[in-house]
Amino acid sequence: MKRGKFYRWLWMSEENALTETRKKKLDRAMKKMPDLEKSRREIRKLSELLSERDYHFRPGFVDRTMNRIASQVIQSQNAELFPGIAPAFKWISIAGVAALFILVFSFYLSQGSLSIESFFGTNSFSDDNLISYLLYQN
Amino acid sequence: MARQGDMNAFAEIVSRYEGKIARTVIGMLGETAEADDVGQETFIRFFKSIHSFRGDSSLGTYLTRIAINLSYNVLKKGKRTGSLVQIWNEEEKEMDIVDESQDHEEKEKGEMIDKAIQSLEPGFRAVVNLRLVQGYTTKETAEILGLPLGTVLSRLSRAQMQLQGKLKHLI
Repeated sequence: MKRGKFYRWLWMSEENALTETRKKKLDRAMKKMPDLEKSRREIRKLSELLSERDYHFRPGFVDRTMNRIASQVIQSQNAELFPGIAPAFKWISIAGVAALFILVFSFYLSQGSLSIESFFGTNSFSDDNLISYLLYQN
Repeated sequence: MARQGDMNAFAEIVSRYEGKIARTVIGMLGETAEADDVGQETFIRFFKSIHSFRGDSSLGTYLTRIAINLSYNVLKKGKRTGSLVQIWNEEEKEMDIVDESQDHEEKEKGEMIDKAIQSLEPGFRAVVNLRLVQGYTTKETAEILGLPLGTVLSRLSRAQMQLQGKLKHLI
């Protein structure tokens, strides 16, 4: 447990972030534990190795980012210019559905059925009626 | 100026911090399409919340924190597959071949280091990226990640052991 603590302190000591007391404790521990000194060397080597790494985005990163920001700004400006459109559309849709429902219900009350024939008003037609109608037309 | 929506000023910010954010997100996600996307998203998030940036920390630290959080989200969602998806175009590949012939050994070494970093758990990877790749102090790393100092030190020690095992021929 104590050993682990000293390993952690090694990192702090590399940044000169240890208090004087801890620094002295670490120095004493390093004299007793040679692998702590080895670990310090490894930390330094690892730091050196990893600090050399550098990464870059593909060329044109600034343009890609600014294009995305610009398109989002336009979207939000549109929303600000026509703020009532979305809620208005919602209320128009609700009113339309309600009107349709009332129409269908009143139709059912007057016709007693919701069949296609009753909708077109042909439910009382028989084949004979149709034939005599066509004959009369000719 | 940027606060007033001046796109040119904001483009300047993107340009100035592009490298720092690239080191953060590519260090976390590898050279993938997601990394580029997360990089862009970092600046978009900042653009949207620019009014709430109070300057308590430096802009670089603030952006790095956003980039780390977004990278974590990508890793959590499991969007990232195990293999690195190369996103360079053909022209860049050609340039890379020239580089390869010029400095093959350095490139191979870099790839080995990247592979070792990518093999770490995301929590360890973030600590290694900030402390060792980007050179933040342990205290700053703890602040960026919102972790206690002890946790960062413990993760550093454990990550060091894992990296040593993987990079023993380089250390």
